[in-house]
Amino acid sequence: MASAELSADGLLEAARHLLPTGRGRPRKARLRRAISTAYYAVFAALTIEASLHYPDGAAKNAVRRLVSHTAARAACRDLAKSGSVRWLHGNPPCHPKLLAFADGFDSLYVLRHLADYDHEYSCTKLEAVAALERAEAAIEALSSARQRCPEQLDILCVAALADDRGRTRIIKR
Amino acid sequence: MVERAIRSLQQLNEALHSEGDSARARYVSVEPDYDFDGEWIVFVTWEIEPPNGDKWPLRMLDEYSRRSREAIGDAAGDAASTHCLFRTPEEISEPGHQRGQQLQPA
Repeated sequence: MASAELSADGLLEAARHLLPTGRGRPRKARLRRAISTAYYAVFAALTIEASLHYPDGAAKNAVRRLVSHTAARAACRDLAKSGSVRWLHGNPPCHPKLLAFADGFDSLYVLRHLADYDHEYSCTKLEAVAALERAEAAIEALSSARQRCPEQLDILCVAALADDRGRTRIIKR
Repeated sequence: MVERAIRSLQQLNEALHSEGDSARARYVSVEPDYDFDGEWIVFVTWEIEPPNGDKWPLRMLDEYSRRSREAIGDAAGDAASTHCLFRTPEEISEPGHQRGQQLQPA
């Protein structure tokens, strides 16, 4: 079973706790951590989907561990930019729910990169609040995609497990 | 690419002005995409009025992002992705929020 500490809900809750509630200037470090944690909640949701078809245990945990941030972003960015699923025959249009997830993932990835690594980035409480809301919307869209376009979601998960060459190899004509 | 992005965003600002929308793209910065060689991330910093409550509607932010992507897309093609940062007038006047080159007010 996936640990509660690394569940999407658990991470969203942690991000909420990091957001300041009172007036006055919040500490930037807390805002940066809130943004980063919001991204990690979305990433965790994707890794859970990637391991969905495996029984609880070592294999499931290993699949979750194998999803890399860069590969997941590359796969989501491909969907968000093209609007279609190139890894399925006929290059079908991406379902709006999966598209919403992919777009949200890419957006949060870039913001998390600023929050974690960019010393020139100056974040705000409103931005952290929007990041959390975007993460919640992306996770909800992912859950909906599981119901509405499971094949597209499964192939996104495969693409998120592959490197650049692997993703090229699974493109269908 | 920066000059073309500035021109495109300037046109977007003029369109917003004519629509009576006070939001403006204020700064633009073109930076290397850390994950993709030869690709770029265009950061657009927007100035928008503070929300009535404690947050801006996500749909509103998405609409400004969509219009930014359309404007930047024409200027940069497939080799760039666009990311928007949103700031209130008070925030944008403070140090640290002026990322990249400034756009002229419309």
